[in-house]
Amino acid sequence: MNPSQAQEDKFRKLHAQSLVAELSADDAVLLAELCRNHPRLMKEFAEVSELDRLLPLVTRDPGGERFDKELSQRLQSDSKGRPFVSGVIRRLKKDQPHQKAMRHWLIGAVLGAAVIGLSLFSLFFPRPAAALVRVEGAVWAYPPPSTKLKANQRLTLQQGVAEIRFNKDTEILLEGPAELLILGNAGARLNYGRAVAKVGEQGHGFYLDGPAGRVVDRGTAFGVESHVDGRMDVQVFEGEVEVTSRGESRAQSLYADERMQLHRGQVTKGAGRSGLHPFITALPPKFEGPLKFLHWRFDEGKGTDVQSEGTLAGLDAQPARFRHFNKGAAAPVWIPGVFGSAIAFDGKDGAIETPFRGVSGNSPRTIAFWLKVPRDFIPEEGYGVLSWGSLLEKGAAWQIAVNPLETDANIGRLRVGIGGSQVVGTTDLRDGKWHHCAVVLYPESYARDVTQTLMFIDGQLETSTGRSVMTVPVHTDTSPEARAVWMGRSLGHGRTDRDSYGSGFFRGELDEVYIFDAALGTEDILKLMKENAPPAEQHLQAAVGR
Amino acid sequence: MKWSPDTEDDTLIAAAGAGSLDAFAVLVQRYQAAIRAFTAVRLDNAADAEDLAQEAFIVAWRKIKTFEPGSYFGAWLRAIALNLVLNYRRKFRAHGIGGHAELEALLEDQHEALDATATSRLIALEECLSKVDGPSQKLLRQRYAEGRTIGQIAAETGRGYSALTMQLHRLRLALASCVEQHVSASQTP
Repeated sequence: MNPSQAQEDKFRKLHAQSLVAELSADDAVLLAELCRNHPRLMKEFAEVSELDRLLPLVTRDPGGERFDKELSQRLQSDSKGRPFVSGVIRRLKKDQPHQKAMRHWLIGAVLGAAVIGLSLFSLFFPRPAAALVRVEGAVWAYPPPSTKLKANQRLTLQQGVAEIRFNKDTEILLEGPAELLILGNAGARLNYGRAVAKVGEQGHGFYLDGPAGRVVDRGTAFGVESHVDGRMDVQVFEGEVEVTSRGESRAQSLYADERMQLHRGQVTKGAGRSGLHPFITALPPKFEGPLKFLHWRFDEGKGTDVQSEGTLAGLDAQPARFRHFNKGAAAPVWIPGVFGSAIAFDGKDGAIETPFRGVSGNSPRTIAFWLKVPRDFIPEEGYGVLSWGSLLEKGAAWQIAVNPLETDANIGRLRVGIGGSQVVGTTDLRDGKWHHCAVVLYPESYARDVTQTLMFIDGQLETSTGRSVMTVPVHTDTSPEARAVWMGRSLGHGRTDRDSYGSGFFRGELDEVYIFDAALGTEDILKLMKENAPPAEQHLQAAVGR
Repeated sequence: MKWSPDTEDDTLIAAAGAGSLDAFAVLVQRYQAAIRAFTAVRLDNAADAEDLAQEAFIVAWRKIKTFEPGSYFGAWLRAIALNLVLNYRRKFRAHGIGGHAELEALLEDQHEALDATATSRLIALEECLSKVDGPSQKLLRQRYAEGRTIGQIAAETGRGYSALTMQLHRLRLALASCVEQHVSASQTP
């Protein structure tokens, strides 16, 4: 039986709604009935619903070029990883010959009595199992009474990162919010949150428990995320681990660049793209050499020229210049800032052009500034707070923005894009108030091409809900063909080969911009925020060396 | 060694089994549209669907030596992709069409019938999209390339939510009709 016109109209209305929003239960039942009763409507329902899911593919990546390129990178990385993994397996087998087992047992029996005596001693006088060696932006629910950590000590980190060194040649980076229970010098339990374990040769066999199972090191570095709903994600960066799901006796091996999820006895194994893991695998590296930076104060209060201070580029004689793209040179709106005066960008055509070409390649860097985003911010005005580089190649750009794209993350959060990948923070900046923002970039520990990105808002490390590493290598272009450092204008603006999203200009206020050629730590960023002064070299060395 | 796009599957699979990534790359080119479409229509998250399609090829690369010569490579790839999709669904609860699992199940029943023409549908859709221009093209780009909600588009353009919802649906219907015509024409001897 063919549907009536009224039924067809109703079907299309409900179907249209179902593809953009949730339907009420009654409407969902009615739509399903119309489909079941009329094969023609069922066919249309299937074809159009499928088309709705194919459209993102063909509009975002027509021809599948991006898909091919990403897959090619993953396959090449996968192929390179295999021989290494085989090598690790061979080495482990060699280290544990069956013939030695009996001799080990005899020695073990003789030593057993001595161990029992020592255990009784240590029961009453426990030695520290680990030490807290460094923290970045740490806020504790209960601050540890000492940096010496004993077995059964619980660490509840609300935010920030803590580095814990176990006596048995193992380091753990704990990323808040997280809770870690120290079980001894060879193991810990991650009740929730993320932790990355780096295990040295003396530490083989170190284990990390979570709500859904246990991960045992077999010469490796790995990350574990324990979720409050009992799920547990494991990602291996180097070497191999053995994973045992809760309630199971048999362990499964997991190798470099592989990941696994454990949940209620179920195990799902998959390939992990090195750039897609969410873990902070390293804290900013120790800074070496003289600290160089540039600082734009915006204290001129009039005119179009903006002077910079610092030695990063030797630009003392060349001021930055404010200009309106549609009107030519015209003075910007100067406003009271956090320190002295500041500049307001109109989101239409005003920007500052500097002669500085920026920090190149994947060199460590820190960019800090005060930012005020209006309450009535619209996404079109988010791009281009500060940028340099080129959009011609993936990874060649460096653009700090207020995230304008819902497809990437929540709108209104601090965002760093490099062309092809981005990291987005979690604090909504759209409140019409000044916020101190800092972005720190430095190489990751395990992959030469992978960089770690930390964001600080008002001196506090952003709690990451997504990844903190870029999915494509950072190689910021500072050649003469690339754009120098701009403030207020999107890198995409003015390009003829692609659409620029939105107006191309930032609307909001900016003050005290710093660019450093080093990765600063929390204390250095707090000093910038509170005193508007760069860290003294001596202080910087001490901060990263502790 | 560089392989010709015309090389037969069996030859490429044997070379890939011997470790040739170049041979496997030709297989990827040949089957990527089908596998991307396969995962995309089964998940309501386009980014995750793309990720699973890539994983399907990575699993295939690792297991290529277990592929039985003489069987159909496309079906083998789809079986791997389906396994990944089912695992994904076990881990993450899908919203389903309109937020209802019942409507998703209705669509699920129809996938098999449409799988056979997945590649030609995807290619046809690209062709049909190239004919759309003006405000319609802008609306499709905002919704699908930029991932914006109807509410956002309505707020920015000053147009009514319901009118935009129906305009977008009329565009989908027109594109679906265009795709059907292309696919029918390509199947006509």
